[in-house]
Amino acid sequence: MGMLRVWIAWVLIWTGLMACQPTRDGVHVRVQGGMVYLDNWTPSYDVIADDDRVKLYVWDEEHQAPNKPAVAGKLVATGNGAFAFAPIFPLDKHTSYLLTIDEPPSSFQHLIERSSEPRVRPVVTHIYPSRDSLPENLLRMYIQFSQPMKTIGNLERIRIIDDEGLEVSHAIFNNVHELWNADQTQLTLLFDPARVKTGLDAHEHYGRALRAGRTYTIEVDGLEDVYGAAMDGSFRKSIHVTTEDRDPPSTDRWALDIPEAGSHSPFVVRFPDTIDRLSLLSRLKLTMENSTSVPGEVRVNKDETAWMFIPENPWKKGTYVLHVNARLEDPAGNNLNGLFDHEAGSLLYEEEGVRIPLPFAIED
Amino acid sequence: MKKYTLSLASVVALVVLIAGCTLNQPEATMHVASADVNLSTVSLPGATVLAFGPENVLFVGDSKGATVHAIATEGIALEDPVPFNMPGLDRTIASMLGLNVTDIMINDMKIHPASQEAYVAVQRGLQPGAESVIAIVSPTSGDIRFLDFSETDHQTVTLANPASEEVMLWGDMPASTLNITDIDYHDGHLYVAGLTNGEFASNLRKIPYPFDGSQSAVGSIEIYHAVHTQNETRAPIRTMLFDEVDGVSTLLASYTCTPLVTIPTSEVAEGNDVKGKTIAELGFGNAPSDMISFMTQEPDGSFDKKILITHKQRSGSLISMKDLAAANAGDGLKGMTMGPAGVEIFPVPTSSVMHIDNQNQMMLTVIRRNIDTGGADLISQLKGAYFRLSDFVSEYDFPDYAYPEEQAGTKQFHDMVKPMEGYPHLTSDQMNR
Repeated sequence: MGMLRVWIAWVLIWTGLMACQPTRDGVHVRVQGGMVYLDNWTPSYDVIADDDRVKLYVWDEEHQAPNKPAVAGKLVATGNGAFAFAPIFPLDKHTSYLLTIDEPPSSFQHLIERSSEPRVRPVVTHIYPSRDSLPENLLRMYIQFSQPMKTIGNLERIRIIDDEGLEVSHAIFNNVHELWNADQTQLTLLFDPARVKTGLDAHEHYGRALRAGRTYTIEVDGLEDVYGAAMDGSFRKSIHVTTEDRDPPSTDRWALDIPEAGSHSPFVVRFPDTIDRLSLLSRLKLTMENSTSVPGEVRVNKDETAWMFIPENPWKKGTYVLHVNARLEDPAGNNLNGLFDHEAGSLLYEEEGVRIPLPFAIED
Repeated sequence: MKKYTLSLASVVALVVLIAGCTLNQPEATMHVASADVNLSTVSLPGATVLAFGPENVLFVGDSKGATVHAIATEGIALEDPVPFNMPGLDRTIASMLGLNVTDIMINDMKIHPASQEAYVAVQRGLQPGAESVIAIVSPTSGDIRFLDFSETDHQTVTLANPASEEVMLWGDMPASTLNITDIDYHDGHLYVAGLTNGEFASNLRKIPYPFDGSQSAVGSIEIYHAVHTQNETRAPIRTMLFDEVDGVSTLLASYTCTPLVTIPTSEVAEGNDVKGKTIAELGFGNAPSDMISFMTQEPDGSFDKKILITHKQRSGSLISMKDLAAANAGDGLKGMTMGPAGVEIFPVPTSSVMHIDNQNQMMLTVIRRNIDTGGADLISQLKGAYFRLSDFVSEYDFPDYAYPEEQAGTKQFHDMVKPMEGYPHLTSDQMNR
């Protein structure tokens, strides 16, 4: 019987010790508010300053291994004997992580899997200029995407293909920096100016990338958004190329739709030809005669031949001024100051960016 | 009796259990000290280009924010030339930042003038709001830390407003962003080159440092572009450097496709329409990436100043300052050339270099793309050599190779370079040959 008593006592003691051993199997890893909480974890050791026995690694899904070194961060006490790993930088929901607790002779590992929500693939929503017929001295196009995109390595994935199926090489100017807008949804394609302009060696040797009378396809394929989701299939836009545009925009040929006082009707500027969209959005401004700005919304029509201003408040009787920056361009880069491909000394104004005021009256 | 015994056993067990539990409790709450590095003290809205200025101030140009930061740095002077040998720097930094390597961008690298540490501008994430950090890599320990701005002097200057009525009128142009292509400090001023999105127009600003709120824009810089056979004003400077040419302080600037231009620094002033002199054409179909100058010792023992321009597409262009000065004394290039032309250029094997800087008198530091692994490696190279011995397997590397007498110089070079590249066990002494 003595043996039995000793055995029972031993079992009880052992079970008791086990109960307060670190319950690694019971550790619940929870990511919340930028912290990785280690619920139900009781360290088997004294947690000290700069404790590096709890580590978080980026999980390399391709190689099924942790990327080293560990994510910068530290172990913190969250009160009541609980702990969390606090990374310096916020965790990324599109990245998987491995949390490890090194408690020799054993260790605990937990995989924090990245968000499984399906990724929305990016699409090209529009290419500007919107028209299908464009001049051979086209200087600039804008590709509009549905979501923010990666901003490097894209020009290689945009091709211009002629009507015989051949790629037109060295058409787009590549200046290391791709020209993206601030929210990374619009990429500017600049046709190599040295080929667009006449008289230059590159123009003489290679000619323009686009030739009048022919049809070209702009193909955008495989671009990725900022999280690596790629376009599903390519986007194509065909353009028919016309003879060069040597007709710079001129305010003399613009028509103004002037609304009546008291109405909410748009004030409209109509252009005989397409104007560059970025110019329309940034080179025209409406003010009162005394330069106070008029609250309202700017819109551009679908083939970039009209600029509309919809006032927030009804129009008041009085004199208004449409300010035009002479840098306002057509798609061939011709601006109010003259041709992109101009002879030296032939520009209207010595300085670029001269402001041209166009006053008009709103009456009852 | 039996019952009593069991109870006793239970009590013993309970006492041991409690004692055991108590012993196993962590002591109070001990963790890291309070002056911690945290997200807000190491993150900048953006970091596109770097330059060091007087008293080790670090200039950080931010294209997205159209700003330049001036951040005081400290560093214990390192006298010895200690090489970098860090393959996969991009992956290492990404791991510390908690991201995959494909989700960061290394934008620039400069060497701290005193500590020889590599300051690396890294964008953390690719999304529009992604912030940047400056990772500091120690050549002696290989440790990486992040520049902490919380306890240093930190000045900022915004470039978006060229202080004219025009800006008041047009407001900011949300569709248009500034790309800062290079920044450089020279003689009391910070020079900032760039271009704007959507508008093919170059931009050079001159800002007094310490920043006093003023800044000026150079009217335009007209250069002759030999590949294009025209005078150009719109193309942006891609990389620039200030140096003395024949005793005259001069801005050396290189452009895409690839003119090398000189402008006396005194002419780079507000409102001036500056005409640059195109002294060389470094070759068509190419964008230059970095330009540095340093002294090298020639085989005859004399010293010569060199300009090294690295490129995105071509080999590096190494130019002696003597040759550059001679070219600068002439009228500059005229007529058509596809280059290289205009000055004697010694091509050096730096085609995969992303960023380069002077590390010390003996070494250059480069971040270069490893075309086998795809990684960005941080390494040092000897000035004069411009390559790494360990990049190649050659005749010399076979175990049965013995250096003949006429290869004594090569042997000496190998024995110097192998430890520097991380192979001290492969020197002739160690290999017994």
